[in-house]
Amino acid sequence: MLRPIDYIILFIVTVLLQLLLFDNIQVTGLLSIFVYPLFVIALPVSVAPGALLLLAALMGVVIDFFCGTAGLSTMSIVLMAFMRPAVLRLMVGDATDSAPVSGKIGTYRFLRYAAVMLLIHNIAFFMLESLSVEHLPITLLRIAVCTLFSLAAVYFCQLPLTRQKERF
Amino acid sequence: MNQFLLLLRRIYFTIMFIALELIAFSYYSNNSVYVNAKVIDASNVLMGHVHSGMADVGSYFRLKRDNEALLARVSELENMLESYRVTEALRERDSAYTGLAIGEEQYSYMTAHVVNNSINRKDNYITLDKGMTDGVVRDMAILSDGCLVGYVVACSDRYSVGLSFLNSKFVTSGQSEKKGYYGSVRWDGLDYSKGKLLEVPKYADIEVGDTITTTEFSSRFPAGIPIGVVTEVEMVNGINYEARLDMFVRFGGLYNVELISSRDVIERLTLERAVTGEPEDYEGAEADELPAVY
Repeated sequence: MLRPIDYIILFIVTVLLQLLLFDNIQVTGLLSIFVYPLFVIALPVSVAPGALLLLAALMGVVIDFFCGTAGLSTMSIVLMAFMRPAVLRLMVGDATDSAPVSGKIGTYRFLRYAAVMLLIHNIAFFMLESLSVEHLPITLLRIAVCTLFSLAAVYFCQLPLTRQKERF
Repeated sequence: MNQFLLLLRRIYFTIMFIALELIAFSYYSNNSVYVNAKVIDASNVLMGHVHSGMADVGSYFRLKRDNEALLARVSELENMLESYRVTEALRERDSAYTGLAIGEEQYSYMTAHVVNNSINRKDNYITLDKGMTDGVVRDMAILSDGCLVGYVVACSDRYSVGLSFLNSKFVTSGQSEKKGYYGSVRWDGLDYSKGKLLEVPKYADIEVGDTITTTEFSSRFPAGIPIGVVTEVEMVNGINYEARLDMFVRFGGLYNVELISSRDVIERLTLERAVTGEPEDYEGAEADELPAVY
C-alpha cells in the first residue's frame, strides 16, 4: 500500500521528469512524451471520485504553469481522470483496491490499463491543440506514436513504486 | 430533500468534471500570446535557474561549432566595418553627405542565450537569459545567425519570453530578396523547419529558390532579415500564390541568439500604447501583417 507521502513524492518526481527530461526530448518536433499522467494512473483504486478529479486538475494546472500550455494539460488530464473508474472496471477489474501498478495487477494488465488512459489523454491533448481536422492524419499519427513512447516512459517510472510495495 | 441529496451524490462527479473542464477550456480559448508569455515568465522565477543550468551543460557540447560560427561572423563584421569606415571618410570630406553618422545608428544589438525552447507544440515560446535589467524590452526582434526567430513579448528582471516563429499566432510580412513581391509569412504548424508564404499576388514572379526576407512593413523586424528559401509554389483559388519555405534557422538546437531593437520602433510602440492605454490582451501578431494596400 502506498502512503500519502509516496504520492506527494510521485507528484513532484513526475512533474520534474516531465519538465527537465521529457520536455527536452525534441526529436522531430512532432514527438512529445507525457509522463505526468502516471500520477493519476497510479492513484489508489479506492480514491474518492471528487479527490481524483481535483488531484488531476492540480497536476494539470502545475504542468500548464511550467510548460505554458494554457489549460491544455488540465483539460486532457481531467478528462482522463473522469474516465478512470470506467477504464479500471474494464481493464483491471477487481484485481486490487490500492495502487494499480504493475507489481500489483501484473505487467500485462497494467500496460493495457495505462495504454487506454494515455490514449484518452493524448487524443484530448492533440485534438484540442489543433482544434481542426486540417492535419488529421498527422494528428492521428502523433497520438499513436506519443502514446507508445509515453507508455514506455510511464511503465519505467512506475517500476520503483512496485519495488517499494514488495518491501513492505 | 433526502432524494435530492442522494441524486446530488450520484452525479456530483459528472458535475465537477464538467465544471473543471469548462474552467480550463475558457482559460484555453481566451488566452493570448501576452498572457501566455507572462505565465511562462512567472514560472521562470522558480525554474529559470534550472533551465539555464541545463542549457549551460548543453552549450559545452556545441563549443566547437559555436566558435566556428563566431569566427565567420567576426570576419563578416570586419568587412562591414570597413565599408562604414569608407562612408565615414566620405562624410568628413563631403559636408553635404546626409547618411547617418556613426553612433546614430537606428538599431541596437544584444546577444542572449536560449534557456528553454519548445518545438513540439502548436504555440511555442522561447525563454532567454536576459531581462529588463539587461535592457531587453518588449517587441525586440530575436535572430539567430542573422535570420528570423521571433520577437520578445514579455520580460521579467532577468529573463524574457519570446514568441517563436513556431507559434500559430506569429505572422509577419515577407518579400523576395530580388524580385520584390510581398506576402505574409507563417509557420506551417507541423514541421519546425518549414514555413509558408501566403497571399502572394498572382502576377508576382515567384520561383523555387527565391530567398524570402522581412520587409519594411514590419513593425518589429528590420527590413532584409533572411527568413527562408522557397521550395514549392502553388496557385490557390486562381488568385494567389502560396509558397512553402525552408527556414534558415534550425529551431531544434537554438542557443545563441541576437536581440535587435529599433530605437524608432520602440519609441513608436511605447507612445502608441501610452495613448491607447496599455492593451493587456491584444493580439500583437496582427500589427505585423501587411498593410491592406502595398
